[in-house]
Amino acid sequence: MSKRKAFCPAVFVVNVVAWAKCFSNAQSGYQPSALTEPPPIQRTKGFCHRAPIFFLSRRPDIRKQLVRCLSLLFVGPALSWAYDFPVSNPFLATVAGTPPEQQVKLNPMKVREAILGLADETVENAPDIFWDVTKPRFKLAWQEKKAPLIFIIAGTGGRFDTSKVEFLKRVYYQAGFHVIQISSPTSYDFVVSGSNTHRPGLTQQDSEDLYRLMKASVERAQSFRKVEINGWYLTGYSLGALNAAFVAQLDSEQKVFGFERVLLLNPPVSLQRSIDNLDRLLMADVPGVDDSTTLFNHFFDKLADYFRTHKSIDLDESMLFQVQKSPYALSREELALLIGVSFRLSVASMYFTSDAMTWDSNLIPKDFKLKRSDSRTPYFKKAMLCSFQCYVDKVLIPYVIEQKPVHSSQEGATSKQRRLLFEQNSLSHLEVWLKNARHVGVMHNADDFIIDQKGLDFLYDTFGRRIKIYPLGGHMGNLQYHENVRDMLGFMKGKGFPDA
Amino acid sequence: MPRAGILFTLMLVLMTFNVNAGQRIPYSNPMDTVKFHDSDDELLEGWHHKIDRMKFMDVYDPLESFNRQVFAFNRQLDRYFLEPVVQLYETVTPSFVRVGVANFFQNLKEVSTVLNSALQFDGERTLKSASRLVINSTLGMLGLFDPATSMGIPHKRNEFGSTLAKYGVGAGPYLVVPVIGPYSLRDVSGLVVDLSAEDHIDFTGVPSQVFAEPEVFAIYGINYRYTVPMSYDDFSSPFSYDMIRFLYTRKRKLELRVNE
Repeated sequence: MSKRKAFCPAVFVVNVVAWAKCFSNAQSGYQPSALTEPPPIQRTKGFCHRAPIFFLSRRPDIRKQLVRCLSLLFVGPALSWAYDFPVSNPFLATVAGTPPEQQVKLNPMKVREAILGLADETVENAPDIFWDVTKPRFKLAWQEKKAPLIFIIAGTGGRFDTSKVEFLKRVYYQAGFHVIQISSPTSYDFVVSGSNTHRPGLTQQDSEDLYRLMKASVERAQSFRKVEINGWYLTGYSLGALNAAFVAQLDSEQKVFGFERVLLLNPPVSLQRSIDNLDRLLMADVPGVDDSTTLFNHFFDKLADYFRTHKSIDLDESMLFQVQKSPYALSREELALLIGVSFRLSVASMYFTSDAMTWDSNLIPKDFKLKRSDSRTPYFKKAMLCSFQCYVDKVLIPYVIEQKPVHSSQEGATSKQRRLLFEQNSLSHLEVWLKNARHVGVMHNADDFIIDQKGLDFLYDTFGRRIKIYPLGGHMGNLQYHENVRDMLGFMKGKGFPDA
Repeated sequence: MPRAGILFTLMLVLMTFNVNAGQRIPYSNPMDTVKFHDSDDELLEGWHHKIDRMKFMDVYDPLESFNRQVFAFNRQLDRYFLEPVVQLYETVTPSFVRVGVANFFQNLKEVSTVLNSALQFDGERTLKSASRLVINSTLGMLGLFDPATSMGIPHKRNEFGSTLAKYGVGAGPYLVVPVIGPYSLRDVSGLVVDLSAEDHIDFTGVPSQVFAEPEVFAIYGINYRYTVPMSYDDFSSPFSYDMIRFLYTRKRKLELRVNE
């Protein structure tokens, strides 16, 4: 910024560009045709064609447009900051998402879709308890005509049909894409049948698994029915965004797809920072809560009190916003705890599944074959005690050391391995590649607890103009907000981000 | 023309001073806005080491091994039979038909709701359910429509299980019933009583047919699965049995407490 202040002509050029955009938007528009959303500012087509002589116009509508564009100049910077996402508490946004009335309005439409399995990739030696996930599965939504295909990778613990993926599917399907939805490498089904090592968390390795499954999925889709594809796209959110970046990098080497656009939604930048914060959320200080039992009783009592005054139990989308307006509103600490618990559940699932598949014997005694009728509750309890950090220490580090034995002292080796592990599997590992990857963009929030100031700086420095940062939204809370969806599609359709 | 000139100059000036266009949004750390326990606090110890602190998951489940078998069976049944059937149902029928069918069977349940509200001496709910029954059976064409809800009397189910609870009967062991899923012994007994009451009273002559005619029973069953808003796949976890058991028992407790 200081550079710009010193060199005024540069500022001038930037502003002319911004100003020109104001007019050209009317023609190309940020409004994806399929979406019915409040357009930012309506401008008439005729006006733009006449731009050079608009000062002379006596037509009131054109003069009105002029005033609007002028005022945009005035408040240009302010306008780019005027992001009206209605939830300013990042924890509430994360838990409750976008209030229904501010969500993008998607047309109710029939999606042609099917869940398909990859029989060739079936795992042979999985314990009986995993009978339902021995075959990797994915979800395909196809258009009847030739169209580009987009892969969507789910976030931490998410299966291919988790609600955020389903939402993104509808957005892109409506915009004319074929869609293939892929489970997160950390999800239960993927740990069993998608992962070669059954120890998810090493981004490089996970991405190779993802890449393999993506190729197999396309083959399977084409044997299922004639899907005509004329372009490849990729997106992912949260941990899925980090995976997407690594997959995109892999594809730039192996050149199987040649992605036209890759969009990362709220990726972790430093894995270490992300898991530290996620683990810490469970330590939020809520009066009266000092262990997990009081924790659940606490929420249960609060909910019961709320329902009792409201005389009914309606667990619908807007319920949490209504609770927040009532005297039973959840505090920041309570919301933080809820988020912490839900992530902890994901770690517990991953930890147990990994242990049952590998017999690393952290939870299940060696060679003990769990049957369907065996209680898993004791393992569940034990697994719930394991944080992300504990998972890294108990599963990933021993595995990495086993792959590449180090002969220095045990203590030093572990801490060195840990540092190396985080370095090699974070977004910053791809810094050089990302700087030149013109087709990869990122969207993030300035109040997302999975990054920090350093991470945000990294994103700004690395992505340049291929970045869109929103001041609000928490972690994925603004995914369904109409402006975010507009920007997402704008980037995918090659228009870049507005005022980036 | 001079006006245009002034405007143009003004614009140039504004553009020159408009230096904020590329400004970065600073990070606002949400972690700073939350109060945390100290790291050496007991809570962390609790989360990381003490297994007895996980006792919130415990539910009285003496038949667990049998229940887990049934649970696995139900899952298979759901994935390979019920869900495809419901999908087919959604494809071949327009939505107003499905809504009508759901209303129709819901209206039949109103009979047991009236009875149980009366047994619980809940005058207000008895009256409300009775008026729903009358309005929907007449204006609503034998229950195919639900005009009562639009008149401000929403559906609120009451069952014999809740009546038993009201008079102090505990939930008893947790059960996974083949096909229909999670129940407590008390609530599944209540269900049997409710169904036989429906059959016995035979309101509009339908219930006896529902159980006698396979076609009607099939529609009853499809509608039942169609109106259950959840799927086993919602819990993509190796601990789905534990999670569903926990949520079911908590939800029932919540319902009963709210009714108090």
